[in-house]
Parts: sequence; C-alpha cells; structure tokens
Amino acid sequence: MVHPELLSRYPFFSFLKPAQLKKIAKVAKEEAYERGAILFRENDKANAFYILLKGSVELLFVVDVEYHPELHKELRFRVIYPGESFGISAFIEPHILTSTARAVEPSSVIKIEAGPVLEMCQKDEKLAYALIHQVARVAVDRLNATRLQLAAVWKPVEIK
Amino acid sequence: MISPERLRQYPFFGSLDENQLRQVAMLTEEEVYQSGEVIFHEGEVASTLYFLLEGYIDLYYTIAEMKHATLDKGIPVGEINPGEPFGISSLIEPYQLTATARTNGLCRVIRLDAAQLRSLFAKDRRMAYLLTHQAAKSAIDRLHATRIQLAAAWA
Repeated sequence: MVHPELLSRYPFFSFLKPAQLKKIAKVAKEEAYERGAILFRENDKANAFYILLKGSVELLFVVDVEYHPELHKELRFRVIYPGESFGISAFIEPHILTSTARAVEPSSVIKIEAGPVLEMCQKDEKLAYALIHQVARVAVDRLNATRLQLAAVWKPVEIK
Repeated sequence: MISPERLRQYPFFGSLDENQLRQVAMLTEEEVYQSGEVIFHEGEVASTLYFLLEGYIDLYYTIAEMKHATLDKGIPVGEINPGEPFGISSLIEPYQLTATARTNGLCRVIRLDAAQLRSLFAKDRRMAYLLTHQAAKSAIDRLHATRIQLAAAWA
C-alpha cells in the first residue's frame, strides 16, 4: 500500500474524499523499473492503472512480422512524464491495453489494481461517476495531443 | 424531439432505463445541415451533444500560423460516421470544444442540450455515470483510431 497523502498529490485523484483515498491507497503499491523494462504490452489485459512518480515511460506501437525480425518496427507516439497517469484502459471495457509501455530511464510508478477500484465503484455511484469522468478527461487530453501530432505531419494534397 | 424508442437504438443510450431515456429524449431535436456547413468551432464552449444520423462529418484543427490558401479549412484530424456521437466535450470538463466540425455532404443530426443533461446528472448519478462512461469509451476509441492514422502517416 502507499500513503493516501501521496495519492492525493496527483490531479487524477483530486476528486476523492479522504475515506475513498484510503481505500484506493490500500490497493496501490510503488514499483521501480530499470531502463528498457516493459511495464505492459499492447493487447494484454488491462488490470492496473499507473501514475508515474519518477523517470519517463514511452508508449509505443510495436509492429512485428512473423519470420521477419528485420521488419520489427516501433512507433513511439507519447512519452509520459512524472505526475502523468497511464493505463486508463484498466477502468473501461473491454479492459485491453492499446499500447506498449517501456521505461526510457530508471523509473518508478504507483501501480493501482483496477479490480478492487471497480468493485468500490459498484457500491458507490458518486465515486463511479467521478472516476469515469477523470478517465474521459485524460482520454480527451490524449486525443488532442495525438490530433496535434497528426496535424503536424499532414501535407496538403497537391492539385494538378 | 426524438422518441425514446429511436434513441434506444444507439449504444450510447442503450444502458438507460425507460424513465431515464424519456427524460433524455425530451432534450433532443433533429436538425439537417447542408454540405460544407460548420456545426461548431474549435475553442467554443461545448453546450450541445450531437449524434450523426446520416452523412459524414470531418473534424479539423485550425492553426493560425499556417493560414494558407489550401489550409483555409484547417487540417483534417478525424471523421464522424453515422451512429457516432460528437461534441462529447459537452459532457467532460472543461466543456470546451477541441476541433471544428464541418459536414461533408448533407447531414442529419440529433442535437441534445448538454446544460440540461448535466442538470439531470446532478440529480441522477447513475445516469451521469452511464453516459459519461459512453463518452469516455468513444474518446478512447477515437484516440486509438487517431494513433493508427498517426502510425500510418509516420510509416
């Protein structure tokens, strides 16, 4: 478990009441990763949510072609910095991760098991709403950042 | 007003009960837009939630420094297909639109007054959860689709 006070410092959990914070802190733990360590892989079951405490973590799409290791390709579309959260798929069906996360440098995270949090939500509608609203906010922020990246590489179609 | 029976056909509303569906239906109206019309602009307050019934909608970003004859419409960053919600920022703080929506062909849409919907949310937390959950899902789906577009553009 982590100290509830630690959780309360992160904007993602700013909506929680002290009692809720305590419960979530119980299913959270700190974890450290070496440089290059994989935190999770695309298409794996999303069962935990993360807040980055230290270091940096890249989110990637990995493209592999069977029997052709030379075609292995990685597309890095986002770097997560301390204070940011990731793994929001853990809180939403179908609970499948949509990218691979890898530590760029020695990094530490708060890892929160999603199962117990979702169970708490079933008994507490206010908590369920507040949590899903935060998830939606993070998703919209990420969507904006990704659209901006897309806009940056966009080229007007030549009219001949 | 769109009938509750018709609203129920959309997965977005599928989880609401009879009573909730009726309350939501009362906030809706149907509207037709001609091709090339702007439904909303990036940066505006998001006060309406939309569903596309028919036609196609393109989403654009406008970047001031790039004002250019070929870019006067902005840079395309996504599209909305029939059956999909848009303007979901109207359910998510800070309730601000993040892209410009322009019709591509004749479009029929459902408009839903988001301020009134949010006052229903204040009284009915279950409804607030169910619909915000749908908005989150659609944001994540769109995020995933946009990342794939980006990956294709980089490849």
